[in-house]
Amino acid sequence: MTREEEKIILQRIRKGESDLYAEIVRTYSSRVLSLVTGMLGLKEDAEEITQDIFVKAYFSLDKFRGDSSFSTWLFRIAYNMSVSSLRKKKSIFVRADNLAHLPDEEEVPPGESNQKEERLVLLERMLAELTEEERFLILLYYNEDKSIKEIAEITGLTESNIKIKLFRIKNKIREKTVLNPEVCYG
Amino acid sequence: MDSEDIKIQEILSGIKNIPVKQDFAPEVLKRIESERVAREVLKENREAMWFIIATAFGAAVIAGLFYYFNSEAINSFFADFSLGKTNLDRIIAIESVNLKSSWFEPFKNTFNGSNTLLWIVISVNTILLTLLGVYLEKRLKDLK
Repeated sequence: MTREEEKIILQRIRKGESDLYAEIVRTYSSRVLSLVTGMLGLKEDAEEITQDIFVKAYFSLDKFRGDSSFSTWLFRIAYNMSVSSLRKKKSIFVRADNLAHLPDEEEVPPGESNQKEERLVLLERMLAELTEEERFLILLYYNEDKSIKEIAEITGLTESNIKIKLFRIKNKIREKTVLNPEVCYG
Repeated sequence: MDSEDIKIQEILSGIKNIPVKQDFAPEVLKRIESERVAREVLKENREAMWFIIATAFGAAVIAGLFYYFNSEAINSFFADFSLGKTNLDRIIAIESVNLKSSWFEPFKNTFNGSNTLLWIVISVNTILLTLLGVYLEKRLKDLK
């Protein structure tokens, strides 16, 4: 769906064609679910919260002015709701088996399964070292390719603050986990 | 992006675009519909709530005023009101005066002629009702 098509769909939804919202949900559900899972850890909780996020977004559509992209606006709601959810219930952290539904799970040739498992362990270790906010930041930056400016819009932090946080996150990862072979395999 | 960034990105790709096994859309649409109905009900309840608060407030003020201006003044008011009216109107007015007198007897006995306590009750009642209204409004806002 192009941005222009998306804009038209959103206008039609605002005018009352609420069934079209299914298109929006299908377009973004995987991305929102990935972010929320990365932040909260538990997939079951993440699925529930992802649905809440789309319901909340629907009733807030009038507030979306189109200054930023829809995904930026939606991720802001996702961030706020994930933070509220964390306040209510401190979730245990991501375990590899929660992520064992990687995109090409069934298609991985047998020889590559070890490599995939290693990657999962690295991912688990990496995320375990970070706070919820840090996880959300790196997922936005590395997975969603959001710019510093967009991340600032989503999280409400200043751009310089985000740059500092990303720098620290990278240092943390380097020192404790995946980028340091001694720690990782020692 | 340097090599470290690329490595981080590669590892994080494990959590990129997690496939949604179950289509969320029907469930989300269903929840939107029930939420919409709930909001409608809440909106109607809110209107009813403010109506009750306004009525209770009005009734409290009127009761206070009736008590404040003693029965002599009330009698006089209704008597003047009934002048020049038809017999039926006069009867209704007289009945009203009688009713009024009987209504306020308990007040007089309870407060022994002092209206201070009555005003305190009215004020506290009004404050509590208003706080209830403000609280419910906030709850409604939180839902949005």
